Amino acid sequence: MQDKKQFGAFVRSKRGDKVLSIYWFLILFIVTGAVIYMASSFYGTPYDVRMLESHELGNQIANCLTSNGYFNDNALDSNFDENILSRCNLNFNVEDNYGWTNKSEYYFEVGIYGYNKGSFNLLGPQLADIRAGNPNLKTTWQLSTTSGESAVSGFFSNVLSAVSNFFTGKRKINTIVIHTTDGSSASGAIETIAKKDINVHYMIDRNGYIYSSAQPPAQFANAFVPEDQAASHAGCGIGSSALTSCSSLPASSGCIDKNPINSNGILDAKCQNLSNPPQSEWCCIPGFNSNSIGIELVNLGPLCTGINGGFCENSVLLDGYKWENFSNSPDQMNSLSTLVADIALRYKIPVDRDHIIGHYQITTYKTDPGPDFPWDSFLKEVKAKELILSAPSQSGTGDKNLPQGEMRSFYTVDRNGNQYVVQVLAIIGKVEKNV
Amino acid sequence: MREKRGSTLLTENIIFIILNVVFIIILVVFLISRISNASLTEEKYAKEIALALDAASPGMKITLNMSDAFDLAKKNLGEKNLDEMVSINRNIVTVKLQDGRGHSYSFFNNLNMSKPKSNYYPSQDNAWIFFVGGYNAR
Repeated sequence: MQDKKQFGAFVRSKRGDKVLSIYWFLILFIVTGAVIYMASSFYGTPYDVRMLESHELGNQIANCLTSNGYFNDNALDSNFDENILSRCNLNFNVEDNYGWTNKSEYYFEVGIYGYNKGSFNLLGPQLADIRAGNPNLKTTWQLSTTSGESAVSGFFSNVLSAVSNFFTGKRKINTIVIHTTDGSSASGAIETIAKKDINVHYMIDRNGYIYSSAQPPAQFANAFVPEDQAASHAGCGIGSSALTSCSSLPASSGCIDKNPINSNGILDAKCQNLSNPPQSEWCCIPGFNSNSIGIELVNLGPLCTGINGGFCENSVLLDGYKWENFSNSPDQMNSLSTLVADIALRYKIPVDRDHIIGHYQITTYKTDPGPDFPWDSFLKEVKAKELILSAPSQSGTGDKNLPQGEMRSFYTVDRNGNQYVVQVLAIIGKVEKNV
Repeated sequence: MREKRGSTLLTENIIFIILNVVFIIILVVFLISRISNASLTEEKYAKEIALALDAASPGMKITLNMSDAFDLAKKNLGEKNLDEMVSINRNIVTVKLQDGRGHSYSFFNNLNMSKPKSNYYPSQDNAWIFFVGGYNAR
């Protein structure tokens, strides 16, 4: 009888001699083979950077289409696409490597559209269609592409950053505060803000034009600061001084208690419900400058009281005052909702009344943006635009045997305030074999 | 008899252990050779440099730590040939860390990087420095 008794990794033969177990070595061979196969396939696969490359190509084209924060009008010239490679400092004429041929490894196309807030994808009529490189790459890419990660918001931010001086990570931003200038013109409001030595991040004129630190007025540029800096738009002080006590103001100011923080450093109970503040005092929640973005809307606010016509046409009588009607300025509201959607996306700010607030919610003696401000419809529009701007862009499959690319959209404005949506598709071929 | 059997057992066990160790050593040597393969490092740096140049703008100075590449180049090419580790010609970056053609990768940004000594060079601390002077003439 054959003795099958195991002794370590040996088995006994019929004669009683122990021989090396073939089973043990079989397992060892299988494990070794598997490790070698995995190592070979892992380290033999080309280091695929084409998605990053297509992203960079898209960035370069987008930067080429904008200048100092504005859309380049000459991108709509009829001969722009003929010279786009040299205009955008692109060189697709590379030496033949790995069988790649000239101009065959890159492709991009740019669609420039008017901005139509009424359409689902914000696209108006197509104004330009620019293409360069090897179009065959697009065919292969389209056949293989599935929806990928969202790149629209980031890209939108990159481009709008030229407009908004966008920086992230330098301060925690979780609130957007909407103000009104209570004045008739942007220039007057900017001058007032600058002379008070305070500032905001954005101001939107009635025609939808957005002032910011990236495109400040010639004078009074100090009225704006970039997003990475706190602006003094929602403080509890007057001007640049943050008051901590009414004692620093004369009695004639009527100030009884301007500081809602009591001696224990706790928000005074009587100020905790700002919707029902004490009659003889005003309350202010401090600290909003540090965590918020401030947007001013050029609007007369309650100053329409006693005024008819002009900006006060169709003014709204509320709380004993006549307010300039926001529905008179649809372009302004449109720019505001786009800007707020962009900011909310970038900083992941929830689109609700706790995070997108009026100045009056911080300081009880403030009224802006006023009781006429259409909060419900405005927030709905912001949410809709946020959905559009964050919609997944098409991107590559990650298959090393197929071209990789990325399609993204962004919004931009020209120096005349015309708004555009630009779609950029950038594809890289460069299929490499395993080594 | 018992002594003989014990001695046989010991020998067989030793042979078995030696064979296993040899197997494992071969496996580890294979893995290390794959990981520290100069061609992989060539490919990695050729593509990283190309990507960095794609994202570069005129006036930038890019410093890239390439310590592992320097080690391989010193070992395979000798210290005198370190200048040839990285070359950029007509929008192609070539990184060469061993005998052969090296690994090449193209970049699309039309930067003027045609003068190796003034535009990019190895630094003392095992890094390469790239100066982006400007775009090529249109």
